[in-house]
Amino acid sequence: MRCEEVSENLSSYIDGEVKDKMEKNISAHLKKCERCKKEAYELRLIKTEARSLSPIEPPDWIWSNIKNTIWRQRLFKRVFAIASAACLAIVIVGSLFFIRTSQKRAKTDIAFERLKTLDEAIEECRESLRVNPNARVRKTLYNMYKEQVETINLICSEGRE
Amino acid sequence: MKRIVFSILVIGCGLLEAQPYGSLDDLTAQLDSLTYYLDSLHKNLEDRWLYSKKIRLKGIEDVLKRLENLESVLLWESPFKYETIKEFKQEIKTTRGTPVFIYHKFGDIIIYASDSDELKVDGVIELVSKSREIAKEYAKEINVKIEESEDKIKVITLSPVKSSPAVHYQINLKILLPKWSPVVVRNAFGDVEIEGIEERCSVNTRFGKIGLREIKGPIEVANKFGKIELTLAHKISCNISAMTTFGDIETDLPLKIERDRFILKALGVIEDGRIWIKLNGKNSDIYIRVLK
Repeated sequence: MRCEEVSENLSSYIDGEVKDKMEKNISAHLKKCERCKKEAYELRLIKTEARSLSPIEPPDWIWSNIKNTIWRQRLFKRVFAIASAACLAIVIVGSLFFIRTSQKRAKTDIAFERLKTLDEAIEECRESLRVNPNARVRKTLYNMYKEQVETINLICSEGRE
Repeated sequence: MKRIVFSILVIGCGLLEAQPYGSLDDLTAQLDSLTYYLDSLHKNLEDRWLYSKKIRLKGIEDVLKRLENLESVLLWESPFKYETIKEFKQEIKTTRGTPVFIYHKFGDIIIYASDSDELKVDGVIELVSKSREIAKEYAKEINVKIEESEDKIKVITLSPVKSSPAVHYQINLKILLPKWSPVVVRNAFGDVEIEGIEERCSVNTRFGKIGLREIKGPIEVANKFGKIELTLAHKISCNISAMTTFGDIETDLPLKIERDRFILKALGVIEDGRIWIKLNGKNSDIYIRVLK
């Protein structure tokens, strides 16, 4: 048997966990090899001394350290949960704001488009007013102006919100 | 900037205040100032930078009040005393399928269908003027003319060559049309009503109501400002496409209604979609009804 092999199994051999052929081989090797024999002696000595040590009481600070660690972990979890909820809330509020702004913008765009058609209509009415200022033309022109002012008012009120 | 806009508002509207009915030039000047002021508002609103800063045009509420002053200028009762009514009547024979074109501008048009092959045009010209002489002079020029050619008939209303602020008029037409005649109507300031035609109907007006009832041929309608009312016969087979930009659509038919940005559309095929119907409104509400 080689020294490396003995060294690998030496601790188990001392504890009586190695049996049969392996045990015999190790015993035979230890009788012949001084180096391994010395190593076995030192290992036995360490194990004997370790068994003779009295149990050690952990210091008080170790419990407060453990408590602190647990508290920190819990705090981290809570902070993480709150931060996640806050992020979610920001995303929801942001989305709602975006949707509302888009709707408002769409409404305003329609109003601007309507202003263009009213401009054209007013021009046509005024042209006709020069040719024939009859009641119908005048009333139509008045209605076009009124609608134009109301549309501008709508755009302003959208801006004020 | 806001101060400048507000000043323009005040100056512009100030000109409109308490103006009695005057000459057409006075009215034009007032309208110019209002238009100028409205354009200024429009431009400022279009400036997105200002808009994003939530420009507060406090003057707008004031403007609505001031617009009431314009009401008294534009919706006045005519101060002209001399009202002249001139009538026009003409009948002509038509051949089956000859289209009738009606070109009109100021006044209403009512078209009824008949079983005869005669086209009857009754026109009532109402002319209001400052003096009897002016009324007589203008009454000569304002008229209805019927032009007949091989492939079409044209009914045209004639306006005076030279306009005058001392005269205003309207011509209301009642037309009895053979029910097998296709009809094309163009009008500007007036309503158009057509009933019972069995051929193609094409109507285009700008400021007036369009009412079509029991038309059995293809229909093509366009209107800028004024509602479009279509009443179809029971169990009609048609392919409908109706659209309006700033209005609403109401229908008795099972049409698919959808909005594409500014445009509201109603589309659908009824029965086997034999005749097509196209309704196009700009600032118009569209009503599609079916007789029970």
